[in-house]
Amino acid sequence: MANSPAVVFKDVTLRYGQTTVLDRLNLSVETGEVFGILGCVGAGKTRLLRLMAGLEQPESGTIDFSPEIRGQPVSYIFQQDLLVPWLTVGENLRLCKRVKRENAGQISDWLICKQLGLDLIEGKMPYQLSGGMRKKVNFARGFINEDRLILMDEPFGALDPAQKRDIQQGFLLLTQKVEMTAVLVTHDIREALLVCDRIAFLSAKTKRLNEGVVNPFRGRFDVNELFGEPQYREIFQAALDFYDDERRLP
Amino acid sequence: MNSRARFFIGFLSVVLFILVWDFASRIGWIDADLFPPITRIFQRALELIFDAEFIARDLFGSMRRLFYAGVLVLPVALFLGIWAGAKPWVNATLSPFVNFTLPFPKVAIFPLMLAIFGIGDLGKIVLIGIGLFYPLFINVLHGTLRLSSGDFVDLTNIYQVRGWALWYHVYWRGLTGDILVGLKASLGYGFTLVIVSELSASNNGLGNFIWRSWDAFQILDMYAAVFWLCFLGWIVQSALDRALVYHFRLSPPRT
Repeated sequence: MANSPAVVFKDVTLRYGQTTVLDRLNLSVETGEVFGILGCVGAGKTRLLRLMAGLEQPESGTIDFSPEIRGQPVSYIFQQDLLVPWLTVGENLRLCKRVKRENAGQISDWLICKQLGLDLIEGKMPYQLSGGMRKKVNFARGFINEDRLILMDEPFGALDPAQKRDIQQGFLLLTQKVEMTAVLVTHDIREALLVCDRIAFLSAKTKRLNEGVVNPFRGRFDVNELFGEPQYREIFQAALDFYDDERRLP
Repeated sequence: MNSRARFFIGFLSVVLFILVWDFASRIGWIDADLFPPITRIFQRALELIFDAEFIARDLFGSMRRLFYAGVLVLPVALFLGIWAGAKPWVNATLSPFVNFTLPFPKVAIFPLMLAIFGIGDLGKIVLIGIGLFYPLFINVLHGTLRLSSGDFVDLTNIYQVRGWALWYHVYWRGLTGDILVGLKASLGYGFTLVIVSELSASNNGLGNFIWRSWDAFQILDMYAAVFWLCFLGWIVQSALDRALVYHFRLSPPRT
């Protein structure tokens, strides 16, 4: 994990009419890390990602990026697969491919062909695919440009366990091969503990992120053994307590 | 119901209709002067299709007007529909005119067209063109608005889909269904306006042929001309229907 921050939110406030979505939120994502954001439905996780992507602007506060990321395009894996229905899988991927860097594309080719097996369905239309395959295409699209910053909005949702593991393994391998910083939004504590270096909780009550916990269990699929480890159970329990607390009325 | 059964029922209903009409006309249940036996109408229609004057002067006359109006207007409607859908300021500029002029029956301005352009072909072509414009423009406009808002905008912004890729792969290919539906509506209305514009101030065309037949009380000719008009309309609509089915098989509407 590198040291300088890739993304810094300083006192960022986002409102929709009278509703405050984020309130003087502070956040720092280190370069090269996978940063997980957990939170209840409606806590503003997606809005936070959209702010990072520049799809929305904050009412106040500043969002700053490291020099490698500032002004550069970012990749975004949308919660809905957002495949263009009248384009084939291959065309969907090519439509979003904008890499011009030297040697760029090798990693994405590897991801698409070997890890996700999308080369076999390149000519298929989105409606001919299962939900899981659509998710895989959506996921691959997020990586074909090999951008420095990848924003992922529940990319592993709505998949069966085997498909989920395929994509998660692909993602973990990618983070080793490609220099990138990733921000993952999810509801799933186990998933966050599997792929993230650090996890923070976005509270729907305070509209802020709490301080993130460093996760030493990244990349470990051995669920039974993990639950035997006190620190894993501690982080897991803290996450459950957070969700319980969020459900209680203020 | 499978497609074979559907075809059979449709075929049977047409045969039954023909038989009942023909029989009723021949035995005098209906006035044979106004409703001649349908087999005689088909016979006359066949005679007409081998009549060089009818083909060159009337059938092609009507089709020529529709063709010129289409060539002149449909690309404009298409371009303006996409442009207005993609650029809010264009939509804001055009909307008052479109919304104000859309509801009135276009036939109402035919005398005005004659006054402005004279009794030649130009006035008729302009009138047909005005009728062709609206359905295609509105379909394409709303299709483009659908593509220019919401999820796809985020996708194209994030992945910086611009230029040819945006206009061809997102807008053009995404609008194929809307364009075909718009064309179907436009041409359907176009046929109506072709005939109406030829009923007066014209010396050729199917509308004029029907009018001449009425003047001479040639009921059979009137029916035969209507038959060919229906047949042409059916060919065009069927072709567009097939294109639509093919398109939506390739890309069914989003659910």
